[in-house]
Parts: sequence; structure tokens; C-alpha cells
Amino acid sequence: MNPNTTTHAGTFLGIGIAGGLAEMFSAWLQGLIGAAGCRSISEGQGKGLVFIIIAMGIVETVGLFGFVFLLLVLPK
Amino acid sequence: MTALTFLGQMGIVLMLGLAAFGSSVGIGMAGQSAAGAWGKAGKAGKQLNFTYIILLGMPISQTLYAMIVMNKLGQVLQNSEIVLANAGLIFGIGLATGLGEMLSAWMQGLIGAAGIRSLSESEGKGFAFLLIAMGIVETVGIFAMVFLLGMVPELPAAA
Repeated sequence: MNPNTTTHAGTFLGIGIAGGLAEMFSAWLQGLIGAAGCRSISEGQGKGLVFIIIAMGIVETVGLFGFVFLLLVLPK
Repeated sequence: MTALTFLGQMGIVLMLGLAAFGSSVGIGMAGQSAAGAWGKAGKAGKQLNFTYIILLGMPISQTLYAMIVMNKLGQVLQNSEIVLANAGLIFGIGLATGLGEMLSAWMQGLIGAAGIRSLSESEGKGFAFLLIAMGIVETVGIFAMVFLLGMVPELPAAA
């Protein structure tokens, strides 16, 4: 077995769970904003696509932070 | 490796996942509210309000606060003896930071969602008060970060 795996087992499991949580909820809530955005565009006669994309981009950023920061603490 | 070390290592990284969860939920709630308000404005033929973006983007900062504590604890991770001796403390710091940032972001998003509705109904009045209200819950996240950074075990000075 890779000695890195046995020395940093907790870190690896933690990164797995934390990364999973971050990406799961980022995607989930992005979908919810998207759903609300579709209704908004439909009711607002096509207005506001840019704002909806910005709002979805902000929650996308949380997902990006989740994986980048966890990559940084990945044991070498 | 002991179970204690394992627990300490997990605590360090779990906080980021919890904080990202809170940020996502907060932004998601405020984002849905903003979409509704934009739809209402579009239907009425009014110009769409950009200030909603400021309110819905605020809960993102809590993920960064958790990252700061995680990086500080990540340096402690290099010293396995300190991790073993302070495993409970390290796991506790991870859990407390994660919870503090998660709920701070979540509740900030709830205030943001309610604030967007308030702005939409009052035609833009009260933005400063909403920013202050959201700033107060942001402060809780900053307190959690700063006070828990103070609890991080010291590394021995390099010889």
C-alpha cells in the first residue's frame, strides 16, 4: 500500500467528504437558481438572462473554491 | 497512524466542505429570491435591479474564511506529533469553524433573500440597512475565524 495513504488517511477521507459536500450543494443550489431564473425569464419577457448567469456564476465559484482549496492541502 | 491522528486530519479539511455547503445554500436562497424579483420587474416593464447581485454574492466570503483556518491548520499537519497530541483540539477547531461559517453564510443568504424581496416591494429603498444586517451576520463568521485561529496549536520554532 502507498505509505502516503496510510500516513494521511484522515486527510484523504476528509478531502473526499468535504469536496463531495462542496460540489454537491454548489450544483444543487445552482440548479435551483437556474430553475427560478427560467421562470423569471419566462415571466419577464426574456429580460435578465445576464443577471441570472451572474447569479449562477457566483454559486459556481463556491464549487471552484471547494476543489481548488482542497487540492492545495492534498498531501504530496 | 492512530484513530486520534485520523480524526485530527479529517477535522482540518471537513471545515471547508461545511463552509462551502453554507455558502452554496445562502447564495442559492438569495439567488432564487433575486430571480423572482427580476421576473416581477421584467413583467412590469421596469429596469432590472443590479443591487440584488451584491446581496446574493455576500455569503461566498465564509468559504474563504474557512480556507484561511484550514491553511493555518494545514501547516500543523506537517508535524505528526503535534497532530497526535492535539487531535481533539484540531478536530474541534475544524468542526467549530465549519459550523460557524456554514450557519453564518446560510443565515446571511436568508437575510439576503428577504432583503431582495424588501427592495423589490419598496422600489429600492433600504439597501444600506440590509447591508448592515448582512454585515452583522458576516461578523459572526469573522469572529469564528479569528477566535478559532487563536486556538491553533503552536509549531515548535525551527532550529
